[in-house]
Amino acid sequence: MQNNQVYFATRLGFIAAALSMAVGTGNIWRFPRVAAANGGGAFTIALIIALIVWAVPLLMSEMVIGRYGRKGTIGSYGDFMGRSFSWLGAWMGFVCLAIMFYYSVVTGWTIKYFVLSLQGAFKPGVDTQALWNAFTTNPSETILYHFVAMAIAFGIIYQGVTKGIEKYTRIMMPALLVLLVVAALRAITLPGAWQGVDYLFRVDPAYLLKAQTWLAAFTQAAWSTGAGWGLLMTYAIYSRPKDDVGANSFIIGFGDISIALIAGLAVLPTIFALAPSPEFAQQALGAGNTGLTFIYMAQLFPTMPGGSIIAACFFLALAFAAITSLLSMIELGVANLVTAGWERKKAAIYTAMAGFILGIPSAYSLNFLDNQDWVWGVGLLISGLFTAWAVMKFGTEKVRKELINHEGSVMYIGSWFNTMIYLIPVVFAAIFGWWVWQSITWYPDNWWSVTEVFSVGTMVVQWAVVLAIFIAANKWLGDYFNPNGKMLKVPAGKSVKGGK
Amino acid sequence: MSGNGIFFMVLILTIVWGGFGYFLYVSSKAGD
Repeated sequence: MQNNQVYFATRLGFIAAALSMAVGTGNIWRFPRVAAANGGGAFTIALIIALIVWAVPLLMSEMVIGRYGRKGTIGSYGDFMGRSFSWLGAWMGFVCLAIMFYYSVVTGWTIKYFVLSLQGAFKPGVDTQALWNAFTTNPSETILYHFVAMAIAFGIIYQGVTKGIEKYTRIMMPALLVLLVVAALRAITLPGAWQGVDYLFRVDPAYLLKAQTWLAAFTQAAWSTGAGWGLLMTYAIYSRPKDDVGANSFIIGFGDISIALIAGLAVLPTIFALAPSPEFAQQALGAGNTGLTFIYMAQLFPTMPGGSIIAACFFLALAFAAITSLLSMIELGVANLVTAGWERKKAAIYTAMAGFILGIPSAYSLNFLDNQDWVWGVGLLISGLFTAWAVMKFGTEKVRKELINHEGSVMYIGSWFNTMIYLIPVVFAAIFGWWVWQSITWYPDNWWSVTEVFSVGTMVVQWAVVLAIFIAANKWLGDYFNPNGKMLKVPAGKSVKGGK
Repeated sequence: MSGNGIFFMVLILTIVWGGFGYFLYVSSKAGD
């Protein structure tokens, strides 16, 4: 890949692509709901701290690893840690691809609701619950929209890095921002909306003393920014050498929360201003991501002046957020295949085809989708841990001195980076343990069951199968996905350790 | 809206949006 190295054409092109990778549905339908449930302003303060402790150091680490080898995740890990660690890159890549399979289905939902808003389907009195049920229990429709989502993303990826990803994210990212600002301005100018704004920002110090606030904030930082997923590692392959690692990682982290706050200003004031009763508002916020968005917000939009336009803006913003994140997941697969020697367009066709076929079970069954979201969503935390492990193995101080504070870098990163990297295993243990504990409380009698949607058993078994295969196939993974790896140059019989 | 809400709205938005703008500015020093 190095001989024909492709770069983003501009600094803003890389920023748009990287930020659009981070900004997904989680910013729009998860942040407002989780913030409301965990103390509003107190949660956001905890989230800013989680950003510094977890997300930004991992984003920097990903950029460093991606730029070091300029290969797909498997090749990058192989070069950075040594070929015997290729399985780590395979795990990271697989987790993202497993998410891509069902994320395309979710993207299809957002496109469907944008289409419905254009058709004027959201009218006062319409039963949005029935609308949602009718859609999600009709596989021909969910599969059709899954196909549409994958086709749009494929069409962009197929055109390449600069003519595809860069060109379209430079349009879609600012458009998403404008659409959300329009929705937020409409929301906060509704009578009674400021109660929702107050709910979003008011700080009750008691929440800062609750472990749940912090655990929820660290989880949001991990899932929303994309830190430790391998996606920034993939886009970093195409970053120009002079693109600053530290500054760009902070841009992604702070940009992600900035957009989440605008989404919060669009969602919470709408709910508080238009909910017919406080109980309705609480039900909406407790209805989960899809319930809040596709049932309650869809029900409230038509009750506001200009609601049909705002609904279209909101669902289009959601669709843009989903599509641009889907792009990065497909690109992760493509980059691994290109490193293996595949022609880029062929790699794009096969990755998108695999994504469509393997996403069909999630389009068919919401339970299957929820299970995959649970298993690989928590699995992402393990990917984050692996990223920190890679940096520690390479040498945290060496990474900071030579690769983050690289030649020509404009933002100096101090030794706090080292501290945060060493804190990541501790933070991982806390968040991971919290999710496992929650899962056990959901199924106190059969938490080990493999067949429950959100059980510990289903997670551990699926992870174990994938990890066992990758560890067993490590040599093949290294040979196939990193044929020009550094270690191939080591004479036979010599010990192979470390990276470059 | 409560005084607490207004204070933390200004504080949080200043930190988050201000931080985003600041890092964009810093990044621009690397040139395009």
